[in-house]
Amino acid sequence: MNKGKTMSEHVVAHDDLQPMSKTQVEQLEVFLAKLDADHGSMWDIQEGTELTWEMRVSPELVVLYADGVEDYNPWYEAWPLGPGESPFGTAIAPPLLVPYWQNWFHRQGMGRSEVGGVATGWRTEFFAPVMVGTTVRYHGKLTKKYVKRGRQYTEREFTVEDADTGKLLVKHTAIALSNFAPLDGSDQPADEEPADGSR
Amino acid sequence: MAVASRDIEVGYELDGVKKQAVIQLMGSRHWGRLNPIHFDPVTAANHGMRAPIATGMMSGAYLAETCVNFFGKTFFENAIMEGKFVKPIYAGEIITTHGVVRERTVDGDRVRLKVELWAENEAGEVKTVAWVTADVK
Repeated sequence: MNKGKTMSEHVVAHDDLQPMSKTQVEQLEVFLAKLDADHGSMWDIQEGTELTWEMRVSPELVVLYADGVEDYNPWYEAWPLGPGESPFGTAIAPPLLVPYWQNWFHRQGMGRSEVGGVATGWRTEFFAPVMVGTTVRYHGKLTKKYVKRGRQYTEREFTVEDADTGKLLVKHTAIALSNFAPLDGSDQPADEEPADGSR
Repeated sequence: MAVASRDIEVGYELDGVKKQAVIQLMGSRHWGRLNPIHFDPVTAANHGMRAPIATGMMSGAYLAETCVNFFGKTFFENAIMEGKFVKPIYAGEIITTHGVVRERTVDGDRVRLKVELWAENEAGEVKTVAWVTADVK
């Protein structure tokens, strides 16, 4: 069913890791084809490009994140009824939720679906907790692009502040490969090439 | 909740967390579903991977959870976390986090710890590493 590239002697299929109906596989293939057609690389974003946007850290967003990483700390719970409770008063966001959403910069902001890209590192400074319900303002900038060992790296820097008060909440740097595969198209197993962005 | 205290010693080992990178969580809407190397075996194979890989922020979150359990509220204020995704985490791998206090700095009333963290699979392969600096109360 819907075979892909052969890895060793096994022919890879969409439903290798979870049961999928024929309809679900067809829907996935349509979705993947659309992603491929729309795909743009972060590497094509000009160095120095900046973007500012706002996002509400809603209780639903927090629950979605917490479920995704199976972190059920009650400090984060303000759904379905708020305002929740934490040492800071009401519920707060998990520490890396707001930094994670830097990806809005290249995804929705620049229209780059970045198929095949991978994160290689990060640096986050936490200045104050992000209270659930806060609207935060991101300011992001693509600060560096470079090629290292045949792979394209980008670095983006972000500040996140409370949109109402201007209080600085988080500073975050994200480092990523535009594509996991080397530029020379070599078929080197990815496991043999640690993608740490620093060596 | 926090276990860190002002008199904690260098060499103290943090309690880790244990998670499995299951494909259903890797394909969560929260991760955007715009990069199918994280949830589709065929796309992953076409990019040279033996299986879909977890988005880096999953293992980052596991390490952050370890820090919240240790530091408590101080991890959310004036703390720094710096990390690298050393190797991909493949679908199905069971990941355990570890941490060790490496430095303890006293500056007046302020006690600040530097902790080395890592996440590894069941074979002991290190996947993600990080350093965290935060105060203890």
